[in-house]
Amino acid sequence: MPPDETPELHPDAAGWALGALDPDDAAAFETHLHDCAECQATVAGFEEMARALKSAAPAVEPPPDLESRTLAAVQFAVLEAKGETAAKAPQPTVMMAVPKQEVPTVASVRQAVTEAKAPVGIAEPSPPRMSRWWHWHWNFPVFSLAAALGAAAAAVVVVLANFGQGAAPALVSGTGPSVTTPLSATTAAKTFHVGGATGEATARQAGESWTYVLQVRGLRPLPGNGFYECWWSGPKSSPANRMFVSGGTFVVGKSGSATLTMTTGVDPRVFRRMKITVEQPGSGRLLGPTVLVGQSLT
Amino acid sequence: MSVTDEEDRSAAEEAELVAQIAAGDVGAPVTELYRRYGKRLFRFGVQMLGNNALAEEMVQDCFVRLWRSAGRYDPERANVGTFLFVIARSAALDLRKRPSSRELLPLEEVYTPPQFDHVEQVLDSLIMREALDTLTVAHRQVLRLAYDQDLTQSQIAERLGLPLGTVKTRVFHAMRALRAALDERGFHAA
Repeated sequence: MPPDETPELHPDAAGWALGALDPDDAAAFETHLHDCAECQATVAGFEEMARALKSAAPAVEPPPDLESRTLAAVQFAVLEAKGETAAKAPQPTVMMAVPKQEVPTVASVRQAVTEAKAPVGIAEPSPPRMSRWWHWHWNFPVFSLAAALGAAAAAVVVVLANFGQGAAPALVSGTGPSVTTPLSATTAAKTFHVGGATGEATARQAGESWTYVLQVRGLRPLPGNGFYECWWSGPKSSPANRMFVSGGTFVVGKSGSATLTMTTGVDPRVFRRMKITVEQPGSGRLLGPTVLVGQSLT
Repeated sequence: MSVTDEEDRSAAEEAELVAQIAAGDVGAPVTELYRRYGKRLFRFGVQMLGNNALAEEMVQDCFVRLWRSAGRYDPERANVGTFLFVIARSAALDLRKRPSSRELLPLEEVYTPPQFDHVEQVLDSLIMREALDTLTVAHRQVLRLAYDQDLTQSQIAERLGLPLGTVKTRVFHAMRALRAALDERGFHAA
């Protein structure tokens, strides 16, 4: 008879099968078991279950962003199969905008996407193909952040910086101490075949702003209109209360490397975590999968 | 609607999702199948590979392979769940063989990919986990203390501050509930 139909069974039957009875109870139950056919049948079923119980899979949960990373991986594979590469697609090399009424500090971001061979500050510009596009992702009250950070408001104004052919090189400036953020590849990076990617951002205070030089290596051109985006996350950022500020977008050439110079109000001692994500226009996601991540060394 | 009818309807839905993927829709159908199988596949990966990061990679690879092979899926031969786990097993074995996985894998298992019966055991362990997840917290708690920490009922009573009789009753009802949950999943311990 199945155990769930025999509520009158001995209360120690389950404990015995689990090996959880105290010695005295176990001895007493074994005496009873010897003469009770019903308990023998029940215990046999429970024992099998108890053995299987010990090998139950661990109660591990997949990370919340695995769904979006998985979806991105499939879409990436589809684009790759279609042969749509970044080289063929329009590239969002530079961008601009940001709602002025939400920006307490005006800073500028100069972005030069270049092959790695170009040293910092002598960045070879990307083709002057421009797109008006911007990110401004945070789902927390703007004013509470402003209060928290005071004058060092976490705002980035991304200003169109058109480095056309022959334009003047971006100059790295700043007089204060530098803050370094080493970047290493995430698990998701393997999805995009950039598991060996690395990077480093060096920030130096320049007046009220910070000048960042971001160098990335080991990336690869993304299919379709895919591009990389640089983010800082705030000190209390969490999945329920995201505090992300975009620094800019970039693409890489065949070398997989790029050097970017950005000027922003984001203080690396406050917004310590930096990440590089993979984005697809119109994906609808708040942030794309993260391929590089790091924390400032302060 | 009977359980069998419900299962048939679900199987037909999932077969349709795979057909949509085969037709080129890699948005909603992939998301829906991930929501149905993602957690189980992830746990399967953790069991097979012993590493969360590799398990995540396996899940992503599994869905990429699903897209690639969706056109060959035949609902007459296997349901989508079986199809996905066959893919997952293959993805996991490939990950184990990959040289760059070695630093993440337990050393003693690097060169010994699991045999087929091991995979079956992994699937059984997943069903057991799902059955455990359906129990109340109180039931799960006493079972975990007994099978995971090898505590006796009196030790469990002491740990939880409960009368011994309450623990005995709780263990008994927990085992009955677990049996019912396993029966619902067609699981019969060997």
